[in-house]
Amino acid sequence: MRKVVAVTSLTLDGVMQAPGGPEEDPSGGFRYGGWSVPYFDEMLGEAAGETFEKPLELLLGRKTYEIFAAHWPYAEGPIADQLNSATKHVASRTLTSLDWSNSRLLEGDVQTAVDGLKDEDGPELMVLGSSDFLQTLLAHGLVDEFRLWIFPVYVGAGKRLFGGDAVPSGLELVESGVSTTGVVTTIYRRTGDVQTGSFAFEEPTEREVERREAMKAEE
Amino acid sequence: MRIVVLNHVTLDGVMQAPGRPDEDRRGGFDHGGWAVPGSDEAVGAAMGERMAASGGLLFGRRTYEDLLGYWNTQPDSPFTEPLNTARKYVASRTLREPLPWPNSTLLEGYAADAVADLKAQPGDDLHVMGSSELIRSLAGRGLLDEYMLMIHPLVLGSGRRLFPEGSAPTNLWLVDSRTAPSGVVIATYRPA
Repeated sequence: MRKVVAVTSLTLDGVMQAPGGPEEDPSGGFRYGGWSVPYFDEMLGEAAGETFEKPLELLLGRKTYEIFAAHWPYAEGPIADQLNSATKHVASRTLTSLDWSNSRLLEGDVQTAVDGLKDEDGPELMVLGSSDFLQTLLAHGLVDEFRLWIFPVYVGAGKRLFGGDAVPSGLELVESGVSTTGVVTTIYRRTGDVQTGSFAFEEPTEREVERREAMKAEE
Repeated sequence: MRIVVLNHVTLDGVMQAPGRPDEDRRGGFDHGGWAVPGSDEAVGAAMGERMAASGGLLFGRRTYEDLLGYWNTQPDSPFTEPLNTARKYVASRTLREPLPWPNSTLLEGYAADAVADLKAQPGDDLHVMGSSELIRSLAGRGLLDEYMLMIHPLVLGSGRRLFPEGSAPTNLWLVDSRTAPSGVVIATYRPA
């Protein structure tokens, strides 16, 4: 059994669109591409390198695949070597063939295909970018671990990691750190259902019941 | 005085009904009480430090009615006396003086204008809790000085968010960050 790991940079309002530059993904009229760039320091640079030190396979949506396939085969260095040689699993309803080395299409429905991959032996399945495809993975509860960098900025628009279809999930924080520039780096693992509780007393008073009714009527 | 937001949020930015199932079911929200399991001693201590140096509380109308109305009807609640004793400012276009709970002042007219006047006065930090709509209008006017966010390790996928769609883009400084044993990240930000 291997894990699906989402490696994602987020704004404080949860946006993951185009962290690296204005040209990366301007869809939907997004004007803040490149929001992560001013915050890169030595620590984040090293951590980014470490992300690609261990063997991995990639799980990608079609648009991120196309961005990567136009970049990494033409790049050099250890990260390029790692990504070019890694097996890439690509979700697409429109592509019929893939020309980036070691890439293959996910066959059939996503849940069955990804469950099948997770059952195989092999390195972890890393999701980079792929905001649309992640919505499908989250809706089926298929992401086991999140490595999130939370940047100290909010932008008020753009594609969000947890865009609303996410299955409610409890998580465990297994690691956290802070860059010199105020980026909170975290690793969360999915633990199952959301646990809730109450600071309240067991029996509501008459007045509290009235208040609840009034609040419902306000909608 | 500075205006400081103290709020629980989920990892997906939801701030609705952290404390009780029936706190706020608007929009069919049925995860109320999600902040309870993560609110350990470290989270309590972080809140306690702020409350010990508080110049008062600043609420939107809904949060004021919920918190004061609820705890004042609970027998033997440890929250009732501190809530009643604290100086409270309430932003509302519909309430009229006198407000129903002690030490409460109604902010009339545009909340942001009234809060701008308060900020100009000397004093300890005013603390905002809950109050999503008030926060939105104050953030839009650049009136918030600091956010202490208790980021709980869970994803809800629905509910009212602290920074909703349409928030004016804002850079912040992270001025403090600590992690509670429960996995809550307590992060303090100031608009840059």
